[in-house]
Amino acid sequence: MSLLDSLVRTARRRSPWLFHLNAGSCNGCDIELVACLTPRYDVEQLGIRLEASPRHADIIVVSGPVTRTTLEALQTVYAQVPDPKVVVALGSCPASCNMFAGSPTVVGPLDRIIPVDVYVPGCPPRPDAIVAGIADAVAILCGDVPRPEPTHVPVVADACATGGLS
Amino acid sequence: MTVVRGLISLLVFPGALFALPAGWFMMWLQRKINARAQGRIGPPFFQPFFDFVKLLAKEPVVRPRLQGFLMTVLPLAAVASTLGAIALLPVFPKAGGFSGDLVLLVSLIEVGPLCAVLGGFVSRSLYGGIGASREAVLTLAYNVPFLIALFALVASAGSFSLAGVALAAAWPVRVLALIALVACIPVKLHLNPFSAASAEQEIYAGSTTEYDGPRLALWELAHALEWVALTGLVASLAFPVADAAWPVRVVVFVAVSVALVVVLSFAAASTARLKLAQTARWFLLCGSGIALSALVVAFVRL
Amino acid sequence: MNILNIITGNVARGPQTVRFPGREAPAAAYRGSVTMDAAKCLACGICDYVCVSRAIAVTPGAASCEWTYDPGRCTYCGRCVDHCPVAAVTQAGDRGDSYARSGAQRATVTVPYPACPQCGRPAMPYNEAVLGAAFGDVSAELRERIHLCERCRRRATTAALKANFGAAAETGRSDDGR
Ligand code: SF4
Ligand code: SF4
Ligand code: SF4
Repeated sequence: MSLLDSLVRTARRRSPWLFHLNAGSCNGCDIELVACLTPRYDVEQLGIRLEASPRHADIIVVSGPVTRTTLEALQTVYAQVPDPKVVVALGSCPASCNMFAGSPTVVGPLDRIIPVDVYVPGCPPRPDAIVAGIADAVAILCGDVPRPEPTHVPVVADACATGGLS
Repeated sequence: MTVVRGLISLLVFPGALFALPAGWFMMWLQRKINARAQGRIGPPFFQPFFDFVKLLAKEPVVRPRLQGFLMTVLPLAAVASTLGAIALLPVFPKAGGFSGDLVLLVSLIEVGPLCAVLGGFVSRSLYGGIGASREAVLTLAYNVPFLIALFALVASAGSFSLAGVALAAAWPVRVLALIALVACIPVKLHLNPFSAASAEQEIYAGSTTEYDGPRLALWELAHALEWVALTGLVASLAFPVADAAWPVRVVVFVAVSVALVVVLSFAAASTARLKLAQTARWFLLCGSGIALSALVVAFVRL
Repeated sequence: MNILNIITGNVARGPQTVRFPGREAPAAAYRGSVTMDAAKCLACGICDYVCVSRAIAVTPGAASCEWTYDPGRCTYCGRCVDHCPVAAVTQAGDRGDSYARSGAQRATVTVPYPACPQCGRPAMPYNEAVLGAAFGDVSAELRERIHLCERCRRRATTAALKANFGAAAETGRSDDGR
């Protein structure tokens, strides 16, 4: 590995910027993510910054079961984040739709729509679980840990065009 | 000889070789002070450097050719002009400089915000546009006291060269003018309370919303250099050391710049963001008031 | 100028941050992921019934019962803990680790049915306390029968019925009554 290569890897490891997308979450996960910025957990100690624009981000943090109304935003944001990028699913909702499963307004779970790399357990997850999950995502981002095989079946890829899932 | 000296001040001190690490250090210091004021640990020491490297290593988003060109050239222009401004700083007032370099410095410093405004508009993002228009309004507002204060210094020193101003401006004028200048710095650096142009809760990342990877890295670089240029301008005007050995002058310059960063950071940490209209009004009334009093003192003493 | 007091206080006190990867244990009442003790479980399916997000599935089989739980579906509400009649379900006192695949943490526990004391075939597990909660006082006879398999229990009931029927016929009824 050349020197430049290892410099880039170190930089990626030490400077992950997040973009948070609320895909129909109940706000529980969102509040816990913001709690990671508080003095107690302070993710800035890991160089993490919550960015306002997906163009600046390395890690997309998604909360919520992906509703019909957020589907298009989710796909747009995923496309807008420049490579390399990692997706972190926050809580039970993106993993399985949680208690919203089967609702006609929900099109999740998340891995039907975009490939997911790390799931953080909890409903909502504890802030330190979120930080640990992001640390796992960073390991994938900088290449320390191989990316999990995508199980992503793009069933919902055309859902925006057709107006939703059947 | 002057060419060599010019190149040295552009590339070595206070130019690129010094200004890059210094700018990163100042950005880190500001974030660290902000964190400490809030009771947090804050970012590690090399954070801005790693941010920059990481952004450079990201894959650029494919854009239409003209837009991609403009979105690369504008931040580059901001970097280049700010670097030029740094090179003109009168750290060694007796050595370099030429008559009128003050005007050049001011115009170079203005190129950065101008590029940010244009950059916001060419990115064709709604938030970029709003950020750019806010940036434009604020640039107009703070330039009133900024230019009046500089003019007061020029009037007092009777010279349009930076070295002349640094050495000859009368102290009452200088103090008042420097207060006005320091008040203008937070606008350019997007610090509280004058950070309406980059209010992430309202308009996301303002004019840089659409910038990604390497292009954003250039903006970050320009931002780091602006820290050095602006604090350096105030430092070299506030404590001109003409007769000491060069290491002393360098140390004084750096120490005053860093002290200014500390003051600005604490001011930013202890204030909330003013609205756009409030900011503009503040600069047109209070800021200009201070600058005008400097001007009056300058003319009274003439 | 209250903010200045806060800031000077913060600077003087130093950062309050817990350094990563160090962490604080959650509060005592923390509701973590669910585990089940197969030795206690009665395969009654109440946890499945009360679970809002269907994180628990209880699938009874012929000789055993599959109890499946997916933390990725759980709301960590604790309803299953509250409603399990034998306190077989407990919640962890701490958070779990992140995982890479949806459903990766799904766990299945097999609850084997105990052998029927009479015929040896698998019998649904039962518990006196539950029976008591349902029917009040449990007689000695009933206490014996709850551990039988369904078939043996039916037989025992039929036998008892027959015995009682015979006794009733002998004591009360006359053939003239028709
Ligand atoms: S996982 Fe729980 S807390 Fe998070 S959004 Fe879903 S329901 Fe809300
Ligand atoms: S805690 Fe709540 S959601 Fe989780 S398994 Fe029990 S009942 Fe279901
Ligand atoms: S409620 Fe308790 S006893 Fe009944 S199936 Fe669930 S774990 Fe077993």
